[in-house]
Amino acid sequence: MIPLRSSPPDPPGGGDGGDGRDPPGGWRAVAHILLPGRDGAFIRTELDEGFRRDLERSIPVGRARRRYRSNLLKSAWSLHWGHLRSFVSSGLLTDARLGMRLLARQPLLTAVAMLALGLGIPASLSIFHMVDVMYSPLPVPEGERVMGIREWDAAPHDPVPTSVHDYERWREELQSFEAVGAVRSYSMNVHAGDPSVPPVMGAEITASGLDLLRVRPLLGRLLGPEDQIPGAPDVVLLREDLWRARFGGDPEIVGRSIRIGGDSYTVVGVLPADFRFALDDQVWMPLRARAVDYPVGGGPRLKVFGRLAPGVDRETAGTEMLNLTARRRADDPDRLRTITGEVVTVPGLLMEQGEFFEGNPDWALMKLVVFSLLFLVCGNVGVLVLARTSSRAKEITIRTALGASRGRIVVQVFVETLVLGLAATGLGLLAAEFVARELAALIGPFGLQYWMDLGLTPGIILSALGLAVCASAVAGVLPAIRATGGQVRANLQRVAAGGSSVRFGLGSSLLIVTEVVLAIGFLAVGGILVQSGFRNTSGDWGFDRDDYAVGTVRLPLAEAGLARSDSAPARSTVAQLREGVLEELREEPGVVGVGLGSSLPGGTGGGWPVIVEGEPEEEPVRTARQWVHVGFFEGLGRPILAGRDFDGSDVEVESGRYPDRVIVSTSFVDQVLGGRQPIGRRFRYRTPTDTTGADATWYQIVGVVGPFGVNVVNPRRDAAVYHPLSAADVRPARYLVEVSGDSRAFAPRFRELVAGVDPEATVTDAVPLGTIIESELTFFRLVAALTVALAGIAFLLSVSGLYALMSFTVSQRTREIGIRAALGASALDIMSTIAGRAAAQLAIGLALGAVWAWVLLADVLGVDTLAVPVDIPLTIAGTLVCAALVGVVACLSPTLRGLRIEPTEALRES
Amino acid sequence: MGYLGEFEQLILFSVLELGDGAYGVAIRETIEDRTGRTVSSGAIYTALGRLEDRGMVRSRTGEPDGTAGRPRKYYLLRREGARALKESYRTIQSMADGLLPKLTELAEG
Repeated sequence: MIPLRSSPPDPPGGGDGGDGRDPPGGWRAVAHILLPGRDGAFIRTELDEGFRRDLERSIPVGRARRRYRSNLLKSAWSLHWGHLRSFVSSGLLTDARLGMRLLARQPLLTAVAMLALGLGIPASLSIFHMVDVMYSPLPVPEGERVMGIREWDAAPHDPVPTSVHDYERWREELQSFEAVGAVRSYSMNVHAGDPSVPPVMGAEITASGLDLLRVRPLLGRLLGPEDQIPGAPDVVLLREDLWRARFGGDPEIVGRSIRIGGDSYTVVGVLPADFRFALDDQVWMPLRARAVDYPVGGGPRLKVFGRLAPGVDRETAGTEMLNLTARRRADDPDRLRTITGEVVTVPGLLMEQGEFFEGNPDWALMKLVVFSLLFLVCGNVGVLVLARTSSRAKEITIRTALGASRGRIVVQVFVETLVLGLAATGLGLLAAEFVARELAALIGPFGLQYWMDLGLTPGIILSALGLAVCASAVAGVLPAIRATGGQVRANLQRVAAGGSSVRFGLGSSLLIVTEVVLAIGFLAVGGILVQSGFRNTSGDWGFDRDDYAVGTVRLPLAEAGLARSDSAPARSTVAQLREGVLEELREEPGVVGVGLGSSLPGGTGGGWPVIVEGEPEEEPVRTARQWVHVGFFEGLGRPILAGRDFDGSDVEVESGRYPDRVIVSTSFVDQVLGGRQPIGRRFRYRTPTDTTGADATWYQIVGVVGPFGVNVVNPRRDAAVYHPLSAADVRPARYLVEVSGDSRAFAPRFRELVAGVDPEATVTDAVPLGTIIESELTFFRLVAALTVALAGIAFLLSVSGLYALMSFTVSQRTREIGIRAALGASALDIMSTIAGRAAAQLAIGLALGAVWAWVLLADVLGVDTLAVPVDIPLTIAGTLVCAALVGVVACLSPTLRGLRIEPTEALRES
Repeated sequence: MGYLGEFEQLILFSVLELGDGAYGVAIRETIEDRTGRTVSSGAIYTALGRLEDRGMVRSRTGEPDGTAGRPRKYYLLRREGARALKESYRTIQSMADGLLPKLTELAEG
């Protein structure tokens, strides 16, 4: 199901610390805390040895670690239970027992308090945990010392694409890394003769990259530097599961020839099934791209990573990378102004996300969310403890009058609350572990990468317990101080009159109002995310992704001896193949439309900032740069909204040069040109490797098309520029085919069609468009799912607090209600007595909540930048209605209970 | 002689089987292999401590384990313990004598 973190098997002959043969460091630290003393030392020895023996018995590392954890916790319990038993007669435990009896006597309040702590604390921590999970170190030996290296453009908040030149420069110049490697992952057709099998992810990787990851082959060898020399024999590594599934686990696989796409590769090794670098790759071949073969900034896009040199930490490496880029920036300050070099986690590199750190507005928002949630939790528990303490007012007051110290009573209440807090948090953590697993299943293999392990960590457990103690202190001590304060005599008098020594004053009103406000904020955000984050329909994108299949055809240039050539024969070969395939596709029944282009709908935006002629050069908007065949828009039925489509005059097949004409999307017109007339306007790209603006190419806009899914997550960032592509262009291009039937069924047919045009050409991937889009969306879905869950919890906490308070108020005022009813007050009068205050609190909370939700959505979250247009007023209105309904019900039930009180009973009760 | 709990019986049988090599990890593995039950090192350690207090086993500190260099505690079954274990075993056998078919029928329907 979900792959848990595990390390590759170790070399024979044992290993020392840090290569996976020791239990995880964090847990060993916990063991020192939980198993102290001489007895604990013996047990810890046994735990460590048990772990090592599990590994020797070929128990997978992940499972061995789980057994270690379980053994540790149970051993600690066994060790300390004996100590605990002797503690029974002490006063503190008596308090705890009393506390537990009280909890049992007020089940509703107890349940609500436990809900608050058990849900709220793990939920708050889950936010930080999610960040940790997403950026967990790679599951390789000392994975936390393997880091990603890249440049980051702060203006549009995106990584800068890394070129071969960047890789070679960083490899040479960076001293903080003992080894640097590069990789690029893409989809490949791997088979033993049957080309209709689905593609798998594979990677081109440097030998240095594999070495620094410290993977050991199960069979054969790894890649070596000699494999990377152009012209060397084509070799490949397979992953164990692929070897078993597609090649029958052939024991003679090393040395055997297999086909990838249209080419033959010799298998030189098999890697373990749990090695999945970089993007769940199952095939690895040598990366042969060299800077000398490409213009500066050209060539394939790589991901560069490295292992930190001994004694060097991430910060030092980050500083070196920062300085390296700064030196480059000094040569070209304008162009590289917003570019910084950085060292990031490998997951951050692979997911192309910025990481959470101080100063990032997302991080600040997360902290806001967490602390709001914790406030709700403590607030709820505080209210409940206050209520409960208040109901013991008589007892407390009398004890105080009889000489019990304030401190003693406060400690008693604290311990009672602590029992509640620890029990609730413990249950909550167990529930969190369960939820994490379910969430992982929900997100599925696209969202959950192999390095993510959603289970509990020692840090989470200790943080949760710490928070429980703090919450108990805050929620327990303050009410206790209040209950024991004031004049003893005044309290006694109030108690004698059937009232309480605790008055619910402004403090509790403020608390309830704040809770309602926060809850509405959470609900509104949750509502937005449900609308945009979980959208499955693509109607908002301007097309239906289920209608499309995608195919990439590998050009048979190598076979024709024309590898990497831009010569006329190469271009002619390519043109023939491409036109042939297009023709076949157009005539194929079931094909509604076909287009050929460099990129596809379903991406997540672009990385090319543009500068418009005649406009100032600040904050350029990022655009997605796409190359499309001349017949692309017509072929797919995308209407030209202004100007004209591309035609033959826009490409010059012979020379391979293109007149500088482009078509742009409507988003481009809105975002870059501010909605002004686009036809005839000119712009240029600003790239980090531009020399000066004088040599840059100016492009002229000749047409405008509608949105075509350039950024399915955030249409605000889908400004697109379409360049014309001749069929003869050797640049990689993909076929986008609109089918009338099932796009999944089209893939095998596509392969047949291509083979019919040229048997040497093969399809390196043919998938439904939906598959590609899914993988882009799931990261965002993960965030959305979590936030919606938190919203729900926060709302539940708030409402339960309201209910409990109301309930308590009724029980406190039983006598008063009874008297008023006996004196002839109407039901309405009584209701307004009971519920009047709560209703006022609810109303104020709703009003302020509406304002807070508006601020939150419009300003803080920038909701207008989300994927689909969401109606903020409608969302807020809906949230308020929900909240009001629930709040009314929460108030109503205790109120109705109050109405049913018989006057005589009420009077007797006091 | 003293009554033995179920867990204590498992431990003593393990110690009996392992002879000179009866230490925590080995005892744990023996119980897990034979019964399929997962037990914690701490539970074994504290149970052995109680058994030693009652004179059923004797402990000695042995050579350090292979890699970490910390000493191991080995246990040996004493006569008192052997007697208690034998008695427990005999008691169960007497109780169960002839009842297995009926038990099987009830358990498996």
